[in-house]
Amino acid sequence: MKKSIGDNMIPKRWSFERGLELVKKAGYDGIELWLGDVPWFQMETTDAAVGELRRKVEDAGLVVSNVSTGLHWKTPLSARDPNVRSRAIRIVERQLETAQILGCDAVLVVAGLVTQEVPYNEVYQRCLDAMKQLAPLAAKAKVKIGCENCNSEQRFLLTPREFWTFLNDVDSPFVGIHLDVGNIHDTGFAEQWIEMHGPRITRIHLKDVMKKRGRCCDTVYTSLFIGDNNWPAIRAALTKVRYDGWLIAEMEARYRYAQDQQFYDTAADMDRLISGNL
Amino acid sequence: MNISRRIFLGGVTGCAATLWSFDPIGLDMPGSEPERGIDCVLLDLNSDCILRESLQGYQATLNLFPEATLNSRRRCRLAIVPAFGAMDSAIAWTLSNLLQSGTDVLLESGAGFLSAEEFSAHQKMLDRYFDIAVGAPVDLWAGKSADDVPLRHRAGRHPGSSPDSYASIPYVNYFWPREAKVRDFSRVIPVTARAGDVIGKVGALPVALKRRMAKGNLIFLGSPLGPSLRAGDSEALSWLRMVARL
Repeated sequence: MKKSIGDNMIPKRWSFERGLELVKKAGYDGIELWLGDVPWFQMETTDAAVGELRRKVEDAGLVVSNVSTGLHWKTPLSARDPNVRSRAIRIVERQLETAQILGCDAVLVVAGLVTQEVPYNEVYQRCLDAMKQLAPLAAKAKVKIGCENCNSEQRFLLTPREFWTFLNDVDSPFVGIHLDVGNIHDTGFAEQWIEMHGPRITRIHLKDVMKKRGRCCDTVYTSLFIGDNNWPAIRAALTKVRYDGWLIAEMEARYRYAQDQQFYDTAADMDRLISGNL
Repeated sequence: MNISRRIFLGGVTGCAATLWSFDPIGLDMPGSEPERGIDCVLLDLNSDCILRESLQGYQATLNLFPEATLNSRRRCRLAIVPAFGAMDSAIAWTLSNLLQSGTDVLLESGAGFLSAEEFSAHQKMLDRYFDIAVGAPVDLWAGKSADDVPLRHRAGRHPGSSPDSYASIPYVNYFWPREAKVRDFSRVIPVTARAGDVIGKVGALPVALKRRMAKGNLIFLGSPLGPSLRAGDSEALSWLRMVARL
């Protein structure tokens, strides 16, 4: 397995190049690029500029593990307004295009957002439509779309079996699951998701979660091994399904001070997870 | 009169392909099987059908294949025009002729998300051809908390809303031909009945109308029903089936 971390973890006011240097020095093999979340990688960034990002990544001795985006939280594929949906589709298309330029074969998509206003069954159908529309483009680009399980935040595809049914309905080898082991928290067990989705897992996000241990009994994200994820079980499930792809750190709880230290600490934690010495 | 609406073969073919690939949601709800043998025409206005999902909802519910042309000599009990935005005069005239000869016409507005300019054209068309006065779209969720308590703790990645409190759902309440409570579609087109009967409201706001026009009935929906049909809403399914069987 290889280690990666998101470029949105690079401290603000740092340049991309300085961030890459840190990522390499901390021991990662690759970097996850977040379309729309960082100043150097926006929807308007030209192909040439994206190519330049790739050059910088490779010059730093890294590769791009995948292209992710948080843009679909505000522009969901499940929006009722067809104009919003068109923009959401365009975001995924751009992810696929840039993934090709960056030399990686996976993108992360937040596939739908259930709200009080837009109910589950509508979201399901629209996301299915979107994925069926995008799957041929992904196949042509040879880039897999990984729909992320943002269980509680999306209120969508809350169980591994629902997710399985959704992927069956999409029915494309180029649409799978970008599994976030921290997002499952109150709704199940990460190791069961790994076992169930095995070969359909495109990438894995790592973070830990403390269930109902925040203020006012919130569930809060935290650094690896501090929370309630069953890491030995997660590691065993990865072995069981023969997952040998990218593990990507997505540390939602950031160090307030010595932010570069979080890169080193997380890399060390990931090495420990990969080694199985837990 | 035989008319055809901007039938670009590519567009029609693409549309047909999309519709054939549509797979209705498999909820196995009681009574969710498609209707058969109903004498209806489902009109596909192609790019002027603003919400394709609405067309798909009617198609799946009534087991109809959408038609891109409309013949005013054709005899049918009900003609359905889902989620229309613009409508050219030829189509409007044909629908008027169908009403004259006794066909009921269900006009579903898809204008909720149109631009101001497009909506103005929509408004004028309804006034001119069907004597229906509609107001600008009303956002039923404006100022309400549609979202998003669980996102607050992830503000970095999920920027945006700062919720206040949850509010009740603004259902569309139909009271003809049967009572039905159907999910709103975020924005509604309020309708004024110069003649005829209001058949659906959101709160006190009239959003659906039925009126006699010569031998036929015109049913105007200011809130799209098709997306709820596609999502398997049992109330919406029952309501449409009753209209189709009248």
